[in-house]
Amino acid sequence: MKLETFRGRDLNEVFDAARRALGEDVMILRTDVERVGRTMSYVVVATAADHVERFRRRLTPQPLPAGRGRRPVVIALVGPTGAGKTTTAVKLALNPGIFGGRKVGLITLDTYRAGAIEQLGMFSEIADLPLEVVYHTGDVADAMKRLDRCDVILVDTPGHRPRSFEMQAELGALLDMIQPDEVHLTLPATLRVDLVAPLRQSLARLNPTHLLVTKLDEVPGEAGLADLALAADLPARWVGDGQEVPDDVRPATGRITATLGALRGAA
Amino acid sequence: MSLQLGNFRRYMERRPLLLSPQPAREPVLVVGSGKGGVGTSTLASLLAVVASERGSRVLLVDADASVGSLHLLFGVGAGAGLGALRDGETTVADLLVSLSDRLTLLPGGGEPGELGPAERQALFRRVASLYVDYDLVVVDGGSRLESVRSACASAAGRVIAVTTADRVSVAATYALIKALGERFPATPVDLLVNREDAPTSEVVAAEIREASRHFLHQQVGLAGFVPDDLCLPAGVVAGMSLADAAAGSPAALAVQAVASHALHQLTAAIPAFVERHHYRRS
Repeated sequence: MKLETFRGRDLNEVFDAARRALGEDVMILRTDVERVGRTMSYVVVATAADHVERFRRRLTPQPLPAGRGRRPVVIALVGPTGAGKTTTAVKLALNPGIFGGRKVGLITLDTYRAGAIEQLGMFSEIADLPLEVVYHTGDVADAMKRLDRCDVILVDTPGHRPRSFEMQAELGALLDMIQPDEVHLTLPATLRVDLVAPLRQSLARLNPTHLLVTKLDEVPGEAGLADLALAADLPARWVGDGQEVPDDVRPATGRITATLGALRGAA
Repeated sequence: MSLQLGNFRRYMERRPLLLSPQPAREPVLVVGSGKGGVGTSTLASLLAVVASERGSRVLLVDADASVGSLHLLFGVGAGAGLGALRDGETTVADLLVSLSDRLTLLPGGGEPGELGPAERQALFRRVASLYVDYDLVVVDGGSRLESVRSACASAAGRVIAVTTADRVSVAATYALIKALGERFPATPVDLLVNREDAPTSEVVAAEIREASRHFLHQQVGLAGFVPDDLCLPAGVVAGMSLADAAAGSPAALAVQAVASHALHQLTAAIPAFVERHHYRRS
């Protein structure tokens, strides 16, 4: 999606310039005022309307799967270290607006990071959520069986370490056994946009199906959020926008679309 | 506790209670105490021995996270501990020790502090998957709240809280009852007074039960009284098996009554494989 920036001292002239460049159905994403000394000019960020609609459609996820037969719906969170996967998993499990009254269980594959199991365990213990720890592929079948009374299983994974091929292979093998219905690429909103594509490439083995952006509260004006989404090119179901568990997780599509005007890197 | 965790705990406390079906609990008896040295492990072991001699298939589990000692009472080696399950090759069945044709022990073991509480509890869920193979499971939860809670989290049907008459033990038992009541309000707790004569035991039991009723609004049952029995530890120290040392001892005779009562309560309240409704937070 191509966004263009138009500037001028007269707002009507700026709008006309945008219409001439992008057509009559131009979508104005943001209007702002720039002051340089005593000089004031208007700044308009715009794109073609059908681009926005294409972006919104790409971002909109399909309805949550119903689960295969009696198998719970399984959703895995993958992504770089520090993205907030563990905290997000707990928010998703307990926020009543996410899965309604469905019973949720947790699996953690993160047996590497110091304190990872205990972090998840503290929340799961308070909230009475069943938690399984899976160390090897041989543990998967029994763990899934012990959680078979759950309607939804959330899978927390270790942070991605690009230089550890062995760890990536192990994680891939574990997820192959678990067969999640959705794999959410979890990225912090503070991530540089140019890192998204290589990250997605290095995580391709894990077959991410969705994007989940976290830490929106750490980015002023949520600028660049749509940039990240464009670069990831995945549907997005949720975003995380704070540290309060379980409140700070919201639906993604409208939130990301609304930030189209607050792009980093628009010309 | 961090502010985040504190806010989360307060959020959970505000959530409304909802009816939801829960799976049936297996006949699992957790024996625990608020203070060490009151005879928890010995009583748990005696209960298991007595029940097995009466024909039940019994699994005795050493869930004490600090220093598991059940293997010492039975003269077997320490187990590899739950941590061994992390290697991807060891199964829970590999950790079991057969003590007789009806009594099986899952001994404690491993390095103290090897497992954090959450990891320990998660691994304990694997142990709980074996419960369905036994008529009775007796879990020695030890004297640490974390161990007792872990043991209760994995399908406890009933808890026996062991106390003696000393004031520290009484206070610690009250604290244990309070903690268990907050975390597992649907799990019945019975009090067992150990190593005291009957009149003293009655006074101690009445104190704790009345305090629980008045201040905690918790009904605490009475598992029984077990008298002090010097022959039993002497026999064990001399190298006798627990079953032999206990044979005919006053403690063992008292424990037989406790075991009968506990088994009756468990099987009456928890019909196998029948789902029952109870209140839990949604």
